[in-house]
Amino acid sequence: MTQNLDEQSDASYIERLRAGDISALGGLFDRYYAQVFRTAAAITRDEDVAKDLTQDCFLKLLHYAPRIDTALPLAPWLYRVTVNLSYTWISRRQKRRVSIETLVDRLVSPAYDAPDRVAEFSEVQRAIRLAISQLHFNQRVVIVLHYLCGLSLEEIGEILDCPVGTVKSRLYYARENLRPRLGEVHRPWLEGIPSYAEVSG
Amino acid sequence: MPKFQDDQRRRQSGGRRSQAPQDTPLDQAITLTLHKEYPVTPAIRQEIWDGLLAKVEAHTQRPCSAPEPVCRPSAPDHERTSDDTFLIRILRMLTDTLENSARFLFADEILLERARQYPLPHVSHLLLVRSGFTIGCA
Repeated sequence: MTQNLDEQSDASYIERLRAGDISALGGLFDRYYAQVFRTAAAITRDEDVAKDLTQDCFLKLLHYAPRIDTALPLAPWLYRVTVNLSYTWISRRQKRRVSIETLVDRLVSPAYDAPDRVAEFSEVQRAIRLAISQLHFNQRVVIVLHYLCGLSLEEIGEILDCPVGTVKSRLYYARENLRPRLGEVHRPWLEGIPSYAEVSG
Repeated sequence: MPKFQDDQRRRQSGGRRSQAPQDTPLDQAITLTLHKEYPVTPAIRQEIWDGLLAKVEAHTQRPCSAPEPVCRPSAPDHERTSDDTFLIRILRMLTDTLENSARFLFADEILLERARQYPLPHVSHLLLVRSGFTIGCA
């Protein structure tokens, strides 16, 4: 019931946007900006870029409000736009890359290894973060949508417009790529980490 | 956010709808890392919102009064005849493209010569496309 009410609220916000009421954008922004920002940040690995992409995402929401089907939930649409914007940004950045791409990567990602950020992360988490950042884009997106956004394979398939089997395959190979990079040295830590409920709670 | 709230409930209950392979230590490590990596603070929210407002303002202040360019679809295949010569097709393309900004008169060489001698007030340009055809831009 709560879900239906929320969906109605999204629809009413979009209707107001269609009517030219830009203030309705604030309601949708407060509801979704955090997920959009964190998704973009996890994919691009750059907070500043993620802020920019989040703004672009809601700008597109404003622009395409007349064409959005209010009978469908808004979240998948926002995730799809976020992934597409992230892909566009990463593609453009890769074209600008030169041979010292590691250095450039650090320069365009100032917050990535900032001292305060480094201190927050344990060695294992840094290893995981680095391993995720080195995944192919398609695998990284699936990892982010699945583990960060908590989406099912079916939902990810709808967002990426690909079969569930493809999503499952990408997730499988992404996990297989991550596993050896973490190494056996981290096994004791991995076995002692908190559960899902503790993480989300 | 309906789906997200649903997802949160799913996460809190320790399960999800997907049938993804689960390797709990690895999965939990990935989840924990991703959730801790980019905390969303009020300052970040304000920065994004301010930037969004600036973009919306720039977006809405663009000259919206200008009419959208009208793109006329090309003639359907069934309207095209095998008699269409290359020149006719070129002329059709020209008129399709510029029809909204000007009107064209098509004339043969006799009319062209007459137009040169007695220029009409509503014809501003004369263009000889090929011997036998001219275009007058009104």
